[in-house]
Amino acid sequence: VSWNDATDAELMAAVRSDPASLEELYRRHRRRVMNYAARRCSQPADVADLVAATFMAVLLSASTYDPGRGDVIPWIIGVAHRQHGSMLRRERRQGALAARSANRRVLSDDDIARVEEQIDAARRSPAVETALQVLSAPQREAMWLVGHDGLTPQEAARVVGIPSAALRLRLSRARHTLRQALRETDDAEDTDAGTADNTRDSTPQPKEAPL
Amino acid sequence: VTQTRDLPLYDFEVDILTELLAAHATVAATPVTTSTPRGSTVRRLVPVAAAAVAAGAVVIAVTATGTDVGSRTGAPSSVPSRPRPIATVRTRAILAIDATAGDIFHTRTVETPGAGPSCVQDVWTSPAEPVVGELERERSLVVCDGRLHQDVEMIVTAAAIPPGPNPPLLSEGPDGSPLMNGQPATTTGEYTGVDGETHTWWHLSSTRMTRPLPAQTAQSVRADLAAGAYTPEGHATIDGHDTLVLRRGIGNSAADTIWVDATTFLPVRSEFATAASTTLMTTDYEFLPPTEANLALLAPVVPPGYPKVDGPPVDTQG
Repeated sequence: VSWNDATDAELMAAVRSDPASLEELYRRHRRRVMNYAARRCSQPADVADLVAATFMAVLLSASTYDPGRGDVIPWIIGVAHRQHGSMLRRERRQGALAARSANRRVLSDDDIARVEEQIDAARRSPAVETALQVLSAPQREAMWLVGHDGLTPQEAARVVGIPSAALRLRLSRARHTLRQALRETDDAEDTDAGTADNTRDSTPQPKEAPL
Repeated sequence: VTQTRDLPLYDFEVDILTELLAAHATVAATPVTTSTPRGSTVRRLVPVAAAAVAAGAVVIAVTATGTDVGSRTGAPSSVPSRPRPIATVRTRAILAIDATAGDIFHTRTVETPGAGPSCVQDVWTSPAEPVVGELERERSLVVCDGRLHQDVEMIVTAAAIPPGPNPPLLSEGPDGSPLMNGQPATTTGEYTGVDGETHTWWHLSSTRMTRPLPAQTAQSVRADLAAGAYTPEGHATIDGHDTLVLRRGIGNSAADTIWVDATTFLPVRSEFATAASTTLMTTDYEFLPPTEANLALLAPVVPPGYPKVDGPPVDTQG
């Protein structure tokens, strides 16, 4: 019998008793967690640290996973979310510089390049990236969880610990704010360009964020 | 899922997996938490995780201080009955070596004779992974064509290994002093030896001497494995033990093969061979618990009738 064909829930149930199931879980979902981390951390070592901390927490708290409350992936993303929060709180407490230099994971040059590539890929659209900065942190997180991490609004709500109706409302407001911001960016570019393109409709068209 | 699962692991992903499995061996032995999910549980348990992760230190402490051979099964203490992905054999072998830090590492190397004599070299190092400031012992016994050639033991204080990968075998320090593997090449320690050519033996205390030339140590085997590029090539039986075979090419002209015990994941044998399949060097590995009887293996044996002299004959040291 191999764990290769096991469901995520079966792996979770065996994580504490069988290291092979932990390994299988890690191999399946490490890149998903890395994508989550790459979206939120700017330094490759932080990305690696967050991946490590997340799976360590998965190992320690696997028994708290309840299949009746949802799939494994959103549960793991939820763990990553809380680990990231802990990481940020730790940095604030210790001072960012001290935290960054303490017990940092050492990555090879090749690994740094690979993770940087991942970080770049996670922030592919500079316009959206800039616009996202106008959102509040909770709105931005909601957008990332649904738009980038691929969770449903219901799963994202579980990750951040709010009712799904509240999450949907937050998403709706975030999208509205983002749309406004993108429109303003577009307007500014038009103004910068002067009247060179006088064939263009002067009424800015609403843009849908590619999320 | 399959696509993600089968993506090759980056080096740091291998490191994380190694840490996870090391932590698993510790965590699996603790009671299951019944706390409710979400933040509180994870936050409360993270310090435990951090402690477990610290370079696998917990695992080493738990497994290396015992004297029971049976407790030293290498990587995850509970070897599961399920087949494991072969790609992680390397990770498990590294973890298994880490768990033997306090053991005596014994190698027996046989070189294929060329024009010279056929020699067998036994090397015992203790502990297998010394910490800085700890006394490390190394005995090297060389027998050629069935006759004692040399039997020496050096006891030195372990020095810090400089940061960074692969320090050069020989280099110069900032003050021009010779360095070996990034450490001062000379040190003070104890040096006992038996010379089979002059039929003499000696014992020197607090003497200035060259560090032992780095033989194959547990750490060098670990470093080889960590460097990667090994390809799993199935199973083989060595001395009745089921082993997993890992092989890597060295340029186009030679290859390294390591056999790893299929149960404990500890390395059992390595072989260096040319592309023409001419074996140049075969080394068998053994991890011995530091019992009194095993520690006695670190002391050279002086044959009857050998007189004690002031020091080694010229050119016999290092």
